[in-house]
Amino acid sequence: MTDNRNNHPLDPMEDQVLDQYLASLGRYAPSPAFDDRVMARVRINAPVPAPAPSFAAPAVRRRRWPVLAYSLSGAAAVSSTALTAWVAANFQSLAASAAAGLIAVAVPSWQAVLAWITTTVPSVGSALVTGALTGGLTPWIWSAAILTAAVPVSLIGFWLVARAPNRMNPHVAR
Amino acid sequence: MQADFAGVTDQEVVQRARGGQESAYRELLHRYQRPVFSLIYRMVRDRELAEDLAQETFVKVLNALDSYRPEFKFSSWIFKIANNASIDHLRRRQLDTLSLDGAPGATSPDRVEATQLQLSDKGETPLQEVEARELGSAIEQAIGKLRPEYRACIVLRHIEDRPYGEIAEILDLPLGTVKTYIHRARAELKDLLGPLRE
Repeated sequence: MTDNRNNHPLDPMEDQVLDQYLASLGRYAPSPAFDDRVMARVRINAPVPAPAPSFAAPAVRRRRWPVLAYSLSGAAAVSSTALTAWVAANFQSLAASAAAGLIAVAVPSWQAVLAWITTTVPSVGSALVTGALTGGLTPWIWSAAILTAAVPVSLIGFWLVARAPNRMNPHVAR
Repeated sequence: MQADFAGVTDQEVVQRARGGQESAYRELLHRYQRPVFSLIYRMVRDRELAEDLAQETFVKVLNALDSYRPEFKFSSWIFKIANNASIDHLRRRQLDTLSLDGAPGATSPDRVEATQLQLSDKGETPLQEVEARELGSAIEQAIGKLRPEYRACIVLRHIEDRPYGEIAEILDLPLGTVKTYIHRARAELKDLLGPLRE
């Protein structure tokens, strides 16, 4: 049995009718000058002539100075590591020549400096002498370790900066 | 020179805008001004306020294109910002009824026509047009009586034709909640529109 009311657009039981009328609702338009008012407040980017070639180009464009800083520190760390590795590889020959050089020049100079410090500022001089005598090679080892550790730290920093920020995630946009 | 954006995706238009192409900004504005304005208007039900909020939405979005991530839908992003702007205002404001007429500042017939609600053209007679307008008005008023969350869901789903997943993303709600809201909103709409049939 068919109820004549089934086709009425406002029958509360008809899902299809409700769909049809909801779909028939149009969109509103803002006033005609809306675009111009918006555009007057928009900062248009400076034209970009050509895309940067390297993989890091987008990151560099977005955050130029941090990337530059991390790149320089990374380069410094890499070069210091290379130097450390080279010294380790050529330690024997370097040690021999360094020993000769030290005996000839460095030791007398260092002794002169220590003597000068000791006479000029006795407390500082004695601390330096004590540190030099008791520390031995430890400070040099620590310096090399820090320089070497700078490599992964710099690379991590570079990766963090180059990584796109999450500001655009629709879940956090407001 | 007007660039041709036919068949160009939102992501590509954004890319061009980032490259400094002013026409790309205007294209984004052209694509989304009606959907965004309609959503906000239906949410806040005040034309002047809706224009202000839509303007704020576009200024915010177009000035932040550099931070847009193309893996997300542009529409989700802009609707989300528009909805948030509406909700923020609704929390502070008691609302009035919705007018189907053009903008308050529309003085000429052209401007009134350009700004009024676009009911679908089905070659109706004047009497049918009046009936359709009355029906449209009744439906709009019924939508206006829904809770803001339900209203946003109904507008995005049935007027903007957005999939459930995108609505969930826009409204920051679980998918199941969106489905529940739409189901309840439809039931409320049926109840609200039912008496008109008598």
